[in-house]
Formats: sequence, structure tokens, C-alpha cells
Amino acid sequence: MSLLKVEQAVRQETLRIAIGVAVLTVLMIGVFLIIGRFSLPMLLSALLGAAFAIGNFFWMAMSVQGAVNRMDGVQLPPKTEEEEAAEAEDPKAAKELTPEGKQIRGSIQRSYLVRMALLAGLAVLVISVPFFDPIAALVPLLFPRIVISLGSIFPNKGVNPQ
Amino acid sequence: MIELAIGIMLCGCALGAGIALIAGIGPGIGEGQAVAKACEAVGRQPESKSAVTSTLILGCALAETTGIYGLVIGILLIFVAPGRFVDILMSAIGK
Repeated sequence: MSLLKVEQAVRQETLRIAIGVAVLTVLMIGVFLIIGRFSLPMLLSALLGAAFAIGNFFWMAMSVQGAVNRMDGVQLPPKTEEEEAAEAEDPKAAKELTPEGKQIRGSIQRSYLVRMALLAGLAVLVISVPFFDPIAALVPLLFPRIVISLGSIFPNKGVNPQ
Repeated sequence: MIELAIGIMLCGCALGAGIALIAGIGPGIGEGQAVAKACEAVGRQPESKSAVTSTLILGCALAETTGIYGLVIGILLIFVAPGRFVDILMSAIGK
């Protein structure tokens, strides 16, 4: 299996999410420290959860990159005004995909299924093995959403809005 | 009577877990559709590739968190909630 090239957009977004998840994980550990529930298992669980959250995001970003790269060299004709009018009138027509689109949809859905199965495995592991702290391991999985939401509230000035 | 109460609680947990895990299906379908449509858009306008990729990654991550919420809640309802609820019931009736 050849190594895939990681594109700039994927690298940039993964880095942003990784930094955000790391900061939020440190904050969460601080909260555990304040409420007196800090311990080595809790720390390891938090690190495991954060690593899974970043890994899951990176895998998803690579799936999206792979899907977009499939369209390299494929030139679809621009939509005609009649097609656009038909899509505006009939939502079912707007959902119809080209053969390439159907293949991409299938690959993204398979990737999603595998990632969710791995996350379910992680959740079952941290809940069923008494060593782990389930809350510390599962809460970081939700951090990417918080980072993205914060990113939309406080947009990065260096990023081109296009 | 206690057995009936425990049975109802376990049934509620199982039903809740099933409904919560259904929440994991929707984001997968939506994510696939969104990525496919975005790729078609890239096929029509290749110059928009980097902007579409960036937005698509963040959109997919947002959608996926909904699935993760459902998954976590479902697994908690299967593995954690029944034991806790039975403990609460037993302590309430003094056993």
C-alpha cells in the first residue's frame, strides 16, 4: 500500500483540530484535578480519547481528500438552466448523483461505518475495563465539534474566507 | 413486583439504546451524499477544489459528532445505565 499524499487543506485542518483538542483535553484534566478525580488511569484515558478524536478526524479528512481527488481529470459539464430549474422544483432531482458521485458516496459511507465501529470498540473497551475512566475517555471525542464551533465564532484572520 | 420494575427499566434502556444508535445512521447517509455532491461540484469547477475540500472536511466533522453522540449514549445505555438504575431502585426500596 503506497503512502497517500496529505494535502495542505487536510494538514491545516487536522493541525487546527489537534491543537484545539489538546487544549480542551488539558482543560478537562484541570477540571478533574479541581474536583479531586485526577489519577493516572484518568490521565491515560483522556490521552486515549484525545488521540482517538484526532485520529478519527484525520481518517475522515483523508477519506474526503481521496474522494475529491477521484474527480481529478473528470470534467463534468456545467448544469444547464433547465437542470437547475428542475432541481429547484423537485428535491428528488437535486439528490440524484452521477456514477462517480455514487461511487464516492459508497466509499465515504464505508469509511464512516468502519470509523464508527472503531469508536464503538473504544467505548466498549473503556466502559468494560475497570482501569479506564469512561468519562475522561469519551468526552474528548466530542471536542472536534467544539473546536469547529469556536473556530466559526472566532475565525482565523490569516485564513482566506473563500 | 421488583422483577417487573427491573424488567421495565431494562426494556427502557434497550429501547433507548436502539433509538440512540439509529442516530448514527443519519450522519453516515448525509455525509456520503454531501461529499458526493461536493465532488460533483469539483468536477464541474476544478478551480474550487481546495476551498471545497476545506469546507467539506469541517462539515463532515460537524455531522459526524452527531453520530458519536448517539453512539456514546447508546453504549452507555447498554453497559452502564441498567446497573446504575437497578442500584438506585434497590437503595430506594431499602434492599
